[in-house]
Amino acid sequence: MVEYSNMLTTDMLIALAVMFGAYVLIFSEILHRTSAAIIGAVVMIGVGTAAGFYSQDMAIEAIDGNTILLLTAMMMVVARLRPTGAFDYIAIMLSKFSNGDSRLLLIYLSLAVSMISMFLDNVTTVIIFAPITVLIARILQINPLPFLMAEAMLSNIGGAATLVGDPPNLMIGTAGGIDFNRFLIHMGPTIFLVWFCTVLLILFVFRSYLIKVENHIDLNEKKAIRDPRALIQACFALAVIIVLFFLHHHLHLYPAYVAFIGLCIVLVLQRPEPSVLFGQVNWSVLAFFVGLFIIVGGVDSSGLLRWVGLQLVDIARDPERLMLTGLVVMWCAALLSAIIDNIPFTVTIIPIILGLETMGVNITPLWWALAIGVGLGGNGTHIGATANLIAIAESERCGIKGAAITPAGWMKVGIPTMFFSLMIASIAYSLFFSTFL
Amino acid sequence: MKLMDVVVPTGVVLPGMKIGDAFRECTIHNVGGLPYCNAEGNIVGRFSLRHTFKCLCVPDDMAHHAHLLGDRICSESTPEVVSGEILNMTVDRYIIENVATITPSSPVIKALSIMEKFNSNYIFLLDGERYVGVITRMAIAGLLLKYHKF
Repeated sequence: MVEYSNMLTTDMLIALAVMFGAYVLIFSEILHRTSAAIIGAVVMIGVGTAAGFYSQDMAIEAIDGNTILLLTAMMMVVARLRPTGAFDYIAIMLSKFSNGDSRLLLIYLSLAVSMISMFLDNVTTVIIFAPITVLIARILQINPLPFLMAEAMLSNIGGAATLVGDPPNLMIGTAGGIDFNRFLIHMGPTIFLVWFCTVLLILFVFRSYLIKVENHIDLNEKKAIRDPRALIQACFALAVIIVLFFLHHHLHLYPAYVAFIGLCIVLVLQRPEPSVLFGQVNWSVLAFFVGLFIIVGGVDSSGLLRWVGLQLVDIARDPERLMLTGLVVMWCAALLSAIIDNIPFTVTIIPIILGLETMGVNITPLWWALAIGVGLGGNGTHIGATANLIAIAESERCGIKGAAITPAGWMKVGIPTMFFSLMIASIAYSLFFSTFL
Repeated sequence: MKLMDVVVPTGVVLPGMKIGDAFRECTIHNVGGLPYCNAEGNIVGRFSLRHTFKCLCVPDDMAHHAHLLGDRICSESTPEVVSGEILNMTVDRYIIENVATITPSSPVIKALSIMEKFNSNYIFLLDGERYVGVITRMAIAGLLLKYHKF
C-alpha cells in the first residue's frame, strides 16, 4: 500500500519525469505515438517497481478494460457494417435530397455524420464519409473544403453527446460511474445547442463556397448496397447494441459487454473470416490507450495526482466557486485538446478529479465540464482531433483546385468555431448549472 | 518454354520524354509498362499506364466508388484527358521506383509468380545489366496456345 504525501516526493518526481518523457515523445512525433506510449509504459513499470511505488499487477489494474474492450468490439462491428455500402447509400440519398443546394447538402451531410458519430467512432465516420463527399462535390463541381471541415468538426461535436461517441467520454463515464442515459441527458441538450449554432456559423463562414448548382448527382445509390443481407445483419446487431446502451444501467451491463453482445450477433450471422475481421481492428489505437493507462497509473500510484488534487481542493471545495472551477476545467480542457491529443490529457486529469472526490468535492459538474471541453476543443486546430487529420488528408488527396485544407486554413475557421462553441456551451453550463450537479 | 521465347522487345522511357511518346511505345508493343532509364542507361524505375492514368485522371474517391458512377461524369471530371493535354506532359513525375525484373534463365512460373506478387501484368527481362524486353501474361498465354497447337 502506497502512503500518500502532502509534499512532493522523489517517487512523484520520478513518475513525473517518466510521464513527461513519454508525452514529449508522443507529442513531438519523434516516434509513432503508440510506440512512445508502449515505451513509456514499460519504463514506468520498470522504474516504478525499482522505486517501490508501482508494480506489474498495479499496471494491469490501471488499464481501463471497459474502454479498451468496448472500442475493440465496436471496431469489429463497424468493420462488418462498412463494406455493406450503407454509408455511401445515405450520403448519395442526402445529396439527391439537397437538389443542388450546397447549403442543404452541408447541413444534411453534417447531420448524418454527427448522428452516426454519436454511436460509432467519429474517426471511422469521417473516414467513410470524406471520400464520398469529395466525389459528390466533384460531380457537382463545387469545392469540397467546407463539407470536409464541417463533417470533421460536427462529428467531433456529435461524438461529445454520448458515452460511446468519443473515447474520452467513455473514460470519463467509466471513471465517474456515468451510464449512457445519464450522459446523454446531461450532455445532449448542450451539445445539440452547440451543434445548431456551429452549423449556422459554418454556413456563414463558408457562404461564398455554398452556391446553388444545376449539376445532376450522377451516382446510383442502388449500387451502393453491395450485400443487402450483410447490411440487415449488421444493422440488426447495431440496433441491439444501441438499444442495450440505453438499458445497460438497468440491466447492470458494462457498455463493453453490450458491444460484445452485438459483436456476437454479427459473428453468428455473418461468420466472417477471422483474419479479415481482426485485420480491421485498429490495434495501434488500442495499444496507445493501454500504454497511456499504464503510464498514468504509475503517476497516480506515486501520489503525484493526489498531490495536484490537494493544490486544487480549496478552490474546488467551495460550492460558490464550483461552477467557476467547472468552467476553468472546460476551457483548459478545450485549449489543451486543441494543442495536444485529448486522450492523454483526459487520461491524466481523470485521476485528479477522482482524487478531489475523496477530499469531499462534488466532482459531478467537473465530469460534464471535462467532457464538453475535450469534445469541443479538438475543433480548434488540425491536430486537435484525428477526424480533422482525416479530412485534411482527403482534401489534399482529391487534387481539386482550392480544396486542400492547410493547417493555417483550418485554424482560421477552427479557432473561431471552437471559441464560439465553447461560449455557447459555457452559457448553457452556467444557466443550467443546477442540472449538472 | 523459355522466357526468351515470349519476351517483347521494346524501347525504354528516358527522363524528359513526353507521356504521349511513352503511350505510343506501350500501345505499339501491347505492354502495360516500360523501364525508365537514367542518363547512364540504368533502369531506375518504370513507366506504368495504370499508374499514370491513376495519377492524372482517376482520383481515389472516384476509383473507390467506381461502381456508383453514372455515365455523365467523365468528360466533366477529366478535362486534361479530353483535351489531350496529358500527352504533352513529361513522364518524370509519374515514374514508379519499384521495378520487378527477371533473367532469361528463370522459369515461366517464376515470372508469373513475381507478376502476381507485384500485382502487375508485366515484368522486365534483364540479361545481366542489359534490358531485353517485357514479359507479359498475354505473351505467355499466346505462346502456350501456339506451343500446344490449341
